[in-house]
Formats: sequence, structure tokens, C-alpha cells
Amino acid sequence: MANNKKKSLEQQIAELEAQIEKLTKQVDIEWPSKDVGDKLEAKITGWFRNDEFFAVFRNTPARAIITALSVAILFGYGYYAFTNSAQTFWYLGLVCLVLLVQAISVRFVFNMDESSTEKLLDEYHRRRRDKALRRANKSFVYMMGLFLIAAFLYGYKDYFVGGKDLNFPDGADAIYNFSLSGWQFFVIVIFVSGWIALQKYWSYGIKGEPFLSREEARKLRDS
Amino acid sequence: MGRKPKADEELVFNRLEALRTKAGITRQQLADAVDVHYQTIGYIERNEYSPSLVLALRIAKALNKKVEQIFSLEEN
Repeated sequence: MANNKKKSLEQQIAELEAQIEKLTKQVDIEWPSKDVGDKLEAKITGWFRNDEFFAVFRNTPARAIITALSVAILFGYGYYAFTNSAQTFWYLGLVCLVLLVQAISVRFVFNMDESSTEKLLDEYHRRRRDKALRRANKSFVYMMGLFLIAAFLYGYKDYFVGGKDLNFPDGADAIYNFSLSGWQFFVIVIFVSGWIALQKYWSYGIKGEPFLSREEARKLRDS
Repeated sequence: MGRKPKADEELVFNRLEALRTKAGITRQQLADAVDVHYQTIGYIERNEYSPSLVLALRIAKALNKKVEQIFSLEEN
């Protein structure tokens, strides 16, 4: 009797568990904070992407200036920040700013997924974006190769430049002697992150959209 | 490394602008019909972009023409 009761209890628990599992599968729980965050992000991105106010960033001369500026900030200001500790946070801010401006100038094309309902990401934009990503990937691999060769040559410079015999010792015996302060390391981290993030924008090319006023854009659409 | 020179990229010529104007539809209307951005229609008309086969077929259908009436490998 007691055994039967126990069984039925176990059965009941199993049934309840099955029901809970079924319900959890049916109900897609949406966390309010995530939902609000996503909506806010979509709203801000949409504003940057579509507002005519930012049209000035999207034409070809603007893209050329933005690209030149991003190179100057990443390398030029990077060197300045590397030698002046007070500039580290300015450098971080400027790199972030230049990344934002680059994203605006290409209408956040790299942030759009395939499920985007907006017609902006049609086959032309998708092809251009994918091409840019492929080029960026190639450049990255190429630059990493160059970096490794440079590191190798630097490590063994005594053998190459110092007139010593070209006699590679066993194991990793290359000589690396860097003394970096904390902020210099931070500057290098910003530089490398910025360099990787900017690759795709550089690869996208400087060709922008026609420089049109709202009225001109309307005329072009309706022509 | 590096990009393919533009001269090496094979272009597809078209009579899209003439046919679209003749049909009396705007870039925006055609873009809506074939599900692309209106600027993409402009890029195609200016021979700056060669559309995919799917898009070419969609454009032909929207204009009620055959693909070869709109697109060609030689400039007419």
C-alpha cells in the first residue's frame, strides 16, 4: 500500500517535471532588462543609421577624411600616447570615437545580421561587406606574418647585425628585452584592439554614398 | 594580398535606366518590387555594380522583359 502511494507520488513528481519542462519550452521567457537594452540599442543604431543629420559622414570625401583620421589617430596619436602617460585615456576615447564615426559612415553595415528586415542590407551591401571582411582577414594574416618575421629578426638581431655566426641555439633563445610601464602596455592593448577593429572599415574602401540633401535624395528616389 | 584591380572585374552592361523610364516607374518603385535599396538600382544603372542572377531575373520580371533585353556582356 505504502509502496503504491510512493509510486504514485513519484509518478506525480515526474508528471509535474514533464509539465514544467513542456511549459518552459512553450514560454519564451524574455528578461525585461535585456529587452529594454536591445530596444534602446536598436533605436540608437537606427537613429545613427538613418538620420539625415549623419549624411555628412557617408559621402566619399568624408569617408576619405575619416579613414585618414583613423590612421593618424591609431598610429600618430598612438605613438604620442605611448610616450606621454597623460594621453592614454584620450587615446582610448579617440580610438572609440573614430570607430563610432566609421560605423556611422558605413551605416553600421558590419553590425547587421542576415535577419535584418531593413532593405539597406541588400545584395550590393552584403557583397561589399563580405568582400571587406575577406580583405580584412587577409590583411590581418599578412600583417601577423610580417610581425612574426619582424619579431624573429629582432630576437636574433645579434646574429644578423652583430656580426656573430648565424648559429641558432637550441630552443627559444631569442632575445626580447622590453621594459614597459603599465600605461604603455595599456596603450599597446588599445592600439592592437583598434587596429583589429578598424581593419574591416579600411577594407570597405572610401567610396561612400552620393552627397545629397534630403530634397535631392527624394528626387533621386523618384526619378 | 590586395584587391582585384577594377579593370579585371567583368562588367555587365544594361539598359535598365532607359527601360525603367520607359515603363514609367521610379527607382524607389523598382527597388521595392525587387526588394533592394533604391541606391542599388542606381549603382546597376551606372554600371557600377553587376547584379546577381536572382536580382537580374527579378528586375526582368518587374519590368516584364527578358533578362537579355536588359543585360548584356557588350555595351549596346
